[in-house]
Amino acid sequence: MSNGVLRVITEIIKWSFSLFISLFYYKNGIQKIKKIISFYKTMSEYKFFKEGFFLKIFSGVLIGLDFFICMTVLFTRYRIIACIVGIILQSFYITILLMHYNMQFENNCGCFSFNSPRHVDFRGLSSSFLFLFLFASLLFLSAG
Amino acid sequence: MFIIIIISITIATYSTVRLFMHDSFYNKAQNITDIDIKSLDNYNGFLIVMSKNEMLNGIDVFKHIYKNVSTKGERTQVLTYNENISEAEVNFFKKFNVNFVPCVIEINGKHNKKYILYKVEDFENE
Repeated sequence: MSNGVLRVITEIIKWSFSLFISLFYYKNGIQKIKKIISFYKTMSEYKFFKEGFFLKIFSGVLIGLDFFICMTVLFTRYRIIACIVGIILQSFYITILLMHYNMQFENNCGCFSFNSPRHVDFRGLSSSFLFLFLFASLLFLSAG
Repeated sequence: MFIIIIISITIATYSTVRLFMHDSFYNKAQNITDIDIKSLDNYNGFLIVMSKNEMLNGIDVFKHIYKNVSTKGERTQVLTYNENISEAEVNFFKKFNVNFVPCVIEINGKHNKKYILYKVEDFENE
């Protein structure tokens, strides 16, 4: 396969991954804004912060990061930054989910299946791992 | 990049402000429902008052009202509540042996507010 064809295929893969990530994070971010109290309650159940001042700010930052990734991933020159932020964000969510594996959360509305599912099981974790893989692949392709 | 960062910070700030505003709405809701409990004294059954304000968290307010009303020994229970009931919230209420029968009633009480009332039937009476 010639270098030209390979480059075109790589570009198509990069744009497909970027569009998919962007759309997914946009949808996820909108959902979190719409049900912000539910998202806050969901985060409070993970118990890495006490319910209150810091958790409110942290929840807001998490939503802001969703939109940051959604936008930056679409720009070729900022894609690497988006991937690094995405990998850090996904690693954070995966760590939390692994710490609460097989647990069911009562105050979780079940409306954020991605990254904060009501029942932490293999299915819930696999989607988080999938996006970690997508970010890592995109970073590899963009940096290469 | 600067514009993207500004947009992200704006969204994060907006979300955080909404979360902080929730507390003040929650406190207001407690006051309103406390008054409405008295106006609904004659209602023979359980009531859930749904506020159209999306800032309110149903479970928190319900816990507050449930605690207060049950200690008074009244049968009528009133709740200021979100319009959209989530699966987790429905499951929460089921623990109190209640069921939902939706009906819309307009109350022109002290606050002249329109509520959506959900009549809640006791499972034990069925």
